[in-house]
Amino acid sequence: MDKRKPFDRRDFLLGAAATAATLPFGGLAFAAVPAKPKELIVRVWGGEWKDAIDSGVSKSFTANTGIAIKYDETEDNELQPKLWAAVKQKRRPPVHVNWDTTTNATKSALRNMGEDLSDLTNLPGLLPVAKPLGFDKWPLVNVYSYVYVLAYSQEAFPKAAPDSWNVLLDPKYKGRIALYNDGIGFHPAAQVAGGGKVSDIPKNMKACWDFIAKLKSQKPLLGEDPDFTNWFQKGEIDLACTIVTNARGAKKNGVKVAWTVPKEGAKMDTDALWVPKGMPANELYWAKQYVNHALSKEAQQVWCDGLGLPGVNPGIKPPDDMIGDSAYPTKDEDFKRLLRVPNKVQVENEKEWFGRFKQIMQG
Amino acid sequence: MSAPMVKVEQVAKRFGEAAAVADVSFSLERGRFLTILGPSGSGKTTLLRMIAGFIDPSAGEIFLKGQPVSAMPVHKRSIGMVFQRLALFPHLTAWENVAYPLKMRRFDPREIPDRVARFFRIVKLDGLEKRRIHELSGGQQQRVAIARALVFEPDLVLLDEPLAALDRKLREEMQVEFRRIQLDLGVTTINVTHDQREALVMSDEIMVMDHGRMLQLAPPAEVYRAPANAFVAGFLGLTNLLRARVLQADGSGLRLQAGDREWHQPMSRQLTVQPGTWVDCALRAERVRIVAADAGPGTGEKARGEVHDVLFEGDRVVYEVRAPALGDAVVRVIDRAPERHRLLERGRAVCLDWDDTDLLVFAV
Amino acid sequence: MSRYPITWRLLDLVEAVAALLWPRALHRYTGWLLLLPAIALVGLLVAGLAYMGDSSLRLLDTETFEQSEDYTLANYRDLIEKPTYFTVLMRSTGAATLVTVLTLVLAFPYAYSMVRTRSAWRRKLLLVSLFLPFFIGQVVRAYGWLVVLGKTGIVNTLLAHLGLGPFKMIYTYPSLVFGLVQYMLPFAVLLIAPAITAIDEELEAASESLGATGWRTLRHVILPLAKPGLVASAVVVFTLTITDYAMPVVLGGGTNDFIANAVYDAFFRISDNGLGSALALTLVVFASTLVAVMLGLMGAGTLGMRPSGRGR
Repeated sequence: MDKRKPFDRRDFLLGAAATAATLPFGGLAFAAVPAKPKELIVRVWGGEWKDAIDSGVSKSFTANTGIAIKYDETEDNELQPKLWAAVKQKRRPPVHVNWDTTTNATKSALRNMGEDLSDLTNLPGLLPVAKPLGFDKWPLVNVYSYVYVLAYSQEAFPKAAPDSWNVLLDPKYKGRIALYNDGIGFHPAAQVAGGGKVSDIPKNMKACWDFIAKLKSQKPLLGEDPDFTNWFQKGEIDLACTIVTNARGAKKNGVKVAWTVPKEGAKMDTDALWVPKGMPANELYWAKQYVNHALSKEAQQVWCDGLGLPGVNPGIKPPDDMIGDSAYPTKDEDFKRLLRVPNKVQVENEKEWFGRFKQIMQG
Repeated sequence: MSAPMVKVEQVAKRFGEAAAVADVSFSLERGRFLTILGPSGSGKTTLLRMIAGFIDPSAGEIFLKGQPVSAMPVHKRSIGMVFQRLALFPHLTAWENVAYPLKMRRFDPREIPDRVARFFRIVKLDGLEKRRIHELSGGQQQRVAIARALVFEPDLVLLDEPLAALDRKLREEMQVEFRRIQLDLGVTTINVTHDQREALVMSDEIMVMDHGRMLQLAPPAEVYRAPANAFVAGFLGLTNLLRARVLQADGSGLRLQAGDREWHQPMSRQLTVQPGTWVDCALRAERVRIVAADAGPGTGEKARGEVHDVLFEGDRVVYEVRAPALGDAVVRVIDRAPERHRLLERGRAVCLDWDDTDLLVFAV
Repeated sequence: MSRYPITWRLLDLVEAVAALLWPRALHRYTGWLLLLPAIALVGLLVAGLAYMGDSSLRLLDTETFEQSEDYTLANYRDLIEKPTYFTVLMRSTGAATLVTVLTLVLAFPYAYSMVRTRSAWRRKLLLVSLFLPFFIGQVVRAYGWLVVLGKTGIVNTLLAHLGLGPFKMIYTYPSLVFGLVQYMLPFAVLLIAPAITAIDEELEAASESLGATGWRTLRHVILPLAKPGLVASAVVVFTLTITDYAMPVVLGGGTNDFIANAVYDAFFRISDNGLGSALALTLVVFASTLVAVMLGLMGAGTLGMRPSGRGR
């Protein structure tokens, strides 16, 4: 089927029938529904992450609309320049929906790459954290939050969880600690553990850099999401600063891993969905419907359960194993323990912070 | 009495089941030039490489100046070798090639330039020292290889058919040239070749080999005139081999039958054959006389035939004569003075004759 | 009965079609025609380099995440002022040198025995053990080493039975060098082997008969004559190593980055095309210069580009 061809009568009738069938779930603003594409392409992270969005969002979306969902597992950072180039050259973008870190989504939004999502019907009623900061409109929507916890092997800490990030400096764990290879998620925790204040970021981060410099002599491993699960499983590390989802993944695989939010607190961040510009009107319509569906209570419940993360739809119940977990904030006091850096600050300082981190770690 | 320069004692080499060299023994005195002659596959190269040390004998021992050398590695033996493909070092100059063995054998560095220069003069290459190998002609490369094998004045020089690749004229020049150098320096030499002319021209002694066995070891003239068996007789010179039956054998000689002809053969040497058995008769092509059958009664005839082919080679003519009387054998005849005889054309009936003593008889 | 073979018929057909498409009059341009794909490829590469050159002179504006309109040398200044890049460049160069030396030292005897062995099955064995890992990609092989050398890997498990270890054998600089050498070995062997094949075995026999021991024959005859193969494999191994990306990622544990990792980070992690381009161009110029110096020192003839004598 040629996706660009103007609507004909038959498509219109089919579309209308489909609309009637999907009204309860979508609540669409139009009387007539644009032609359905055969499939939509969504960029996702692999492993736990893909399974979660597939069972939570895509399966029910396909069941409701008949539109198949295909996944593109290109790394978010690698897809970004391709997306930018496509939009700039007015070509069809390689994906319909991009599941992205809020930091990267913000970069794309600053370049005006994303479609405005203001008219999604599920936006009202979401938690405030869903709204991107620094924009009038909605070039992206945050979909859940997550915490960079201190994950630890229970064999190394059989009695009690370590209570401070300073445990990373204990010579006992030399060569057995791990961080993200871009230092992401660690800066505010290091700032506080090093005796500084989060509010000084980005003006004065000496405490943060000093702490990271000390950490270097501990010979940390540096990796990405799947590495942490793997390292815990293979017994390569005892401690890591990682997103709770990865530690939870290792735990689900039977590895004795637990996690904690130390007394200094832990960084909270968000991920987002956004829709790149440049696709035909009907595909844009359905891509936005996919995002809208992802924000619904039903979809968020299953998706975020899979990730073990708190969604932006306030009605969802936490998964059983995360109830009362400090890395799954639900109450105000939970949120107070978490450290936040505005995405705009992150975006503007990313290059600088990355350079400092590399300088310390590669030296 | 000093030990011979080379002594080979019951040396054999087997590759798996096949015997490449079987039970060869000989010795060679200082300054002598020995050529090992044989067809390809006769084991002559294997024997040479055992002496050089590249191949270990399966049995027997080799002595150099009376010392057994089986356990001695190649580089410790005082042997210079000129290889079939010369094996000159392409990354070195002619000078460096010749100086190489001196450097490897730790000659006094002050002595090296003079010595190299002397050998460049000996092989008449002075002036070409700085050339790379690929900048030299085939003949010049031969000379470098010879100089390189001689420069350290080894006890023994081995030549592994180095001249085979040259064209005939150059090859014959080099044969004479090398012999001159060898005699001047008095260096003991063993040469390997399948070229009978080279063997005859260059050597003090010739050893004929076939199928790994030594068939005869003797001075060139003796090997040529008194071959030890039919193979040797056939390998040297242009030789007719005729099968004949012994009718009678006694003290006065043999009565032989070849085809429908009967010859009497005086006994020239020890040969024990029984009447009724077969013998090989070798007859040098140049010892056969040929005359046209219609030229009138000649001095005699051993057989009649018809000229089957004529090869005119300028200084000689080779006739191939079909002789029905000799069981349809083809007899080759060399006329060494064609300018004095009328050329016999193809198809001409001829009479063949030879002296009784020119027929060499071997037991089969 | 001999018939006109079907393959000849096919060739005739091909020739007839070729004659239609490329008439005789154009035959003197055939050389250029054959060069065309290469020229197109090099052209694309040059265009890409030019594009990167332009990009490297523009600064990233982190408020809009667009590149600046004006040209500036700021990215290059960054490379000089930030010690990280010097460190990483020196690490790449040092590792490339070390890996090249170790690889050649290991590859030469391997190639030599592969070429010179008289036993057909030994040659096959050597070839198979060379090619088997060759068909397994670099990344898979690197991950294989994690399985073999990890804390709970095969080697540490075996050592544990002896009451030893566990030892940290991965995510270190030596493990990175080890992985690279293992990866480069087949390339080096394949480049050295033809050079050894080209050396007439009689040269070695000659050297020995002239009084040289095995070692001196190696030094004075085999190594000088194998030089084209050694230089070619040194250039290939050095270039592949200095520009390697995967090994530091998989076996380096995140703290042993090479320059290519820094290039990747600039492009994909901090979205700074300008810095990435500057880094990439610096790598190109730096590595090319080193290779040029290498070839210069070894002599231009080392790649066999000179007339050879006696058809050897």
